Parts: sequence; structure tokens; C-alpha cells
Amino acid sequence: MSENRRSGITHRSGITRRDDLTRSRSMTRRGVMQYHDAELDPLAAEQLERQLRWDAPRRRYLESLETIGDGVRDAVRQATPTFDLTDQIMARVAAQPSSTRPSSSDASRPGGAPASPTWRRKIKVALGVGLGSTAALAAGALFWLSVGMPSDRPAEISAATRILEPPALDDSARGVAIESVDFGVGGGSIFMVQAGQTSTPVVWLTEPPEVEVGSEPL
Amino acid sequence: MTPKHKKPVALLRLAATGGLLLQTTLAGAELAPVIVDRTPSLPLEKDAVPVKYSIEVVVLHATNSGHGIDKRLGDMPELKKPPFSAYDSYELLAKKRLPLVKGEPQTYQLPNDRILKTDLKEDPKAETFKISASINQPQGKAFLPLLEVKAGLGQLFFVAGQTYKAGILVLVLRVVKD
Repeated sequence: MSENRRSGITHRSGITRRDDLTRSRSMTRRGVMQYHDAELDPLAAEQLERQLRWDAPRRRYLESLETIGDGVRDAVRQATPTFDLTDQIMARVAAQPSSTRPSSSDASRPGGAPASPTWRRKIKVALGVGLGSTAALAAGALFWLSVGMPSDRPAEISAATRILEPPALDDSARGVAIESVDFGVGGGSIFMVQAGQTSTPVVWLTEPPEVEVGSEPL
Repeated sequence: MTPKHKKPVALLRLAATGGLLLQTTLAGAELAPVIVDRTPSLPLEKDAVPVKYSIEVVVLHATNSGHGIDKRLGDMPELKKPPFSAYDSYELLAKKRLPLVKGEPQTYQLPNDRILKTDLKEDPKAETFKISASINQPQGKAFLPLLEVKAGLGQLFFVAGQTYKAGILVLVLRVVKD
């Protein structure tokens, strides 16, 4: 069988098809998840992509994973304050020219000589630490000012808190929901009457013929 | 330093001390109202009083007597739409406020002698109220055994259909602030 595979006949043999089927069955949701998380090796990812072309349920599953991921990312983005020191430092580091960044190849150079002199690296480290400390102090001071200082104005609510609060609704936006109803013997119906922009629920009761109270014949 | 020089210096010191004292007094006098303003004792007590809510029950008599809609009802466009448009006359019979207190059901006798019972099921959340209502016969037999609604402040809902004097009763209910 291994010779057949090497010789390229495998695509026509039944064994290979069975292998494909087995692989296709084994390409479970876990495989799709791994593909979604970019954990599959290139060959497996390519196979899965081919499979996804005709496998609608798995394609939908992948789409649902992406939708869930987008939702979670959006929620996290909204819940996280925009001022993120770590992100800014990382962005600055990423923006530096690659020649100034220490690379792993430095160690593998002949003689182990670094690309830039040691004193320059030290200055950079010192500058980085200094900048970081200053930014941390500034953030701390801002936090102290916003939290610790007494103010005549009500304290501003952070973005994260704002998300957790229920959305403010005015009276017109708040509706009426009928949660449960027991019409009893007579029976009845529920209507929604549209008046302007609001729908008003109407519980319409039906009298059982024998219990009409205070009524006169029409 | 001679005593001649000492006297002016002492006077200057005295003047400076007096000035400082005056400044401090003035500053204190300026700050005083601010401090008073920041201790809103009376408004706080006023705010601490919990807001009370009631359910307002408006009882209408719907007939086809050609009298139109009672002017005391104001603008109630729902009455001009189905199923209410089946009746051309709406007369205001009664208006009653029943306090909404959790665990303390309120009763109200309707014109047809049935008893309307209302209760607040849960503590209000963001001015949304979970209310239960039922209508019972005078003998205690349930006509409308249970109706549970979740309603926002000021939002109407109707309970209609009980036959009464050549027409029907229409109950208009809504939560209001006392």
C-alpha cells in the first residue's frame, strides 16, 4: 500500500478513498476549530479548505465561530478603555526600524558580536524604563485625580461601566409585555393595537354565557 | 538694634499679623457658603423618600349609543382602532389608583360587582414593573384567574370584554408615579 501511495496510484485505489473518507469523518468540529484558530499545519488547512467548499454544515460552523469571535472581540474592545499603555508601548516597539531592534540573529553572529554597541542598548533600555515609568506615573496621577479628588460634578462613568448598565429608555420606548395569562372558563384573546409608534396590548375576555353580570340584552 | 528701630518693626509686624488675620477671616467668610452648599441636608432627606407607584385603573363603558368618546378621556387613539372601533361610544365610569406595593395586593370593585385585584410581583427595575392582575366574581369564583404583565412607567394596557349594560367594560391600566 505504501508503494502504491509513493507511485501515485493511490488516488484511484479504493483504500485511498477509504482513507479520505476516514479523514473526512475525522475532520470534526475540532478540526474546524483548529483551522479557525490557525492551529492546523498548511497541508491540513488546505485539505480542510477544499472540504469546506462542499461541506455546508462545517462551513456554517466555521462562520458561526467567526461570528462568535467577532462578537467577543467587539465586546472586549468596547469594554476596554481606549487608553492602553501596553498597546502603545508595543506599537512603538513595532514601529521601530528593525535594525534597532535586538534580533535573535545577533547571538548567532560570528564571535557573538551584537549589531549595535552595548552602551547604545543601555541608553535605550534606560530611556524605555524612564518613559514607561513616566507614563505609569502620569496614568497613576490621572487615576488619582479622577477618583480621589473631590469634585462638584458627578464622577464620570468609565466605558466598561457604561456597557454593563442597562440602556436608558424613555417612557415611550418602554413597552408592555404580557408574560402570562389564564383566561379561565370564558376564554379570550390578546391583540396588539398600534397607536402611533407604540403597540398597546389588549386582553379581550369572553364571557361565558351563564355568568353575565349586570348585562341587558342587546 | 536701638529701641528707636524696634518700634517701627514691631508696628510692621503687628500690621502684617492683622492683615493676615483679616485675610484669613475674609477667606473663611468666602468659603463658608460653599461649605454650606455642599451639605444638602434637606434635599438629601427629600431624595431619600422612596418613590411610590400606583396602578391607575380607568373604567370605560363601551356601547354603540352614538355618543362618541368621552372628552374627559383625552387623546386615546387606541379606541378608534379595532377591536375597540366596534363600539362608537366610550363613557368614563370611574378612575382609581391602586398603590403598587410588593406583597400587598389591592382590590377594586368594578361596576359589574366583580373584583379587580392587582399586585406588584417584583421590585421595580429601571421603572419597569411586573404586575399581576385578576378579576373575580363576587362569590369568589375567578373570571380572569391570572394576568401577568411587565410594563414600563406610563405605558397602557387594556383589559376589555366583560359584558355590562348593553355594552362592555374596558379597563385601561397603567403604572403612574404618586
